[in-house]
Amino acid sequence: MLHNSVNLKVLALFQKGAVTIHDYLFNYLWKNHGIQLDCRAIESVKPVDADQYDLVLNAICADAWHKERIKKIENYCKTKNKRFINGIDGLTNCNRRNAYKIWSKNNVECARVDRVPTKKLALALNMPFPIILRQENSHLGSSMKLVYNAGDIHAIDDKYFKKSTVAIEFKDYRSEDGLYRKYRCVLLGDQVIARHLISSPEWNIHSDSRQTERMSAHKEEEYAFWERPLHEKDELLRAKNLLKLDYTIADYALLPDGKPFYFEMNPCFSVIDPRAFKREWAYQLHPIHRYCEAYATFLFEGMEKQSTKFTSIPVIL
Amino acid sequence: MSTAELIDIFFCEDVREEKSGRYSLMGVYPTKEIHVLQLPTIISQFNVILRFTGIQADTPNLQVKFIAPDGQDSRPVQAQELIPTTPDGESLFIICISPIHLSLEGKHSILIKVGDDINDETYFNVIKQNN
Repeated sequence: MLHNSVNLKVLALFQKGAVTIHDYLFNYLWKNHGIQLDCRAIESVKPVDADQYDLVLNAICADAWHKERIKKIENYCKTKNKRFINGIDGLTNCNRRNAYKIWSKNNVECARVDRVPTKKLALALNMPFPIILRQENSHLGSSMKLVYNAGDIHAIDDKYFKKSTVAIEFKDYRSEDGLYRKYRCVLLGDQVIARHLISSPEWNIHSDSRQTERMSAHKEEEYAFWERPLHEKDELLRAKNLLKLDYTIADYALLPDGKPFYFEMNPCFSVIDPRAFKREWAYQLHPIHRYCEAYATFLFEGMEKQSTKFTSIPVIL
Repeated sequence: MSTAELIDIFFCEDVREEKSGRYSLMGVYPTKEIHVLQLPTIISQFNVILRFTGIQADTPNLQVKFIAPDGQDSRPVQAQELIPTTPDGESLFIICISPIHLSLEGKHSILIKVGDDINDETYFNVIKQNN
């Protein structure tokens, strides 16, 4: 495979200095499927640049930045009948507050979210305690606080409250065994890839929440999640389609009736944890490989995907 | 009904499909021994070619699991069919690994599963060369 033929040319839009697609996915798409992914900062892209590509992948994850630029390129693609992945409507809808408004009208289980830019507004909120306070667009739960009463809110520094501060209804999603479980799937068009399952005695779960002393239990749970039929698949796709997203991740708990309770759904591209290429985390390569292959299928949607006998996979021993 | 049987396994760096439909194997390891200068090490491309007999033409899939001497495994990986199964059940499969990360010296097992059963087991040896 010395010289790949280009089977698909994709313009991938990012914001300058922001996270781009992981090198492994980038190389996987090129090497295994001849997908040329040109990653460019949206600041330097003109709508007419889309003419040189089969489709445009908007890899900006929120509408807070470059709304007008995205709209212009998306509208240009519409006039040219060119596929544009993750339009501005989807990015606007997946904002926590908007997602709550849309989902709550459509019988999708999620927490109520209200903006609380000041302490006074947080105290006046008509929401049952406990309440989660956090900043929108922050990651790894770093800004999250769980407050149990008005006294807890009074005790928070006034400076914590700003335009991006939101209050989220707390859902106690603890399983019968006392552990909290957070599931993540990646949704690409109509495909759903189980990515990870993290369990923890703490409700605030993020990628570092796996307890080292429970690693074999974590692995066992994740293997089972990856292999079991995804009975929640249709519900996940329904929630995604309500938000008008093409590509997204879904973070959720499973309620006793099997329905997902959503924490968030947004087009996050941090799906390939670089740790997976280290021996102790290599078991994670299994869903990563599935994700990469699903990504190729997703990009080829509506076109004939060239089958290859030489699809490569990483093996860490 | 015949049983699937592994009759050959080759390890090489690369496999190229010629315009004639034939395959060129590049950098073939002459034996089942993989010599490395240091451990852990990363080999950027490693291909495994498996020749079978007794494969049914409609065999759903062929999965392979690599297991290091200490039990660390690769999870099942799907082999890809290089040529359609011949009428007498001969078939050629490939697993393209890129990269392969090796940590330990010794016997690395290869479990081969055709359909729902484990049908065969083979291995390669990792040997650390002395400078």
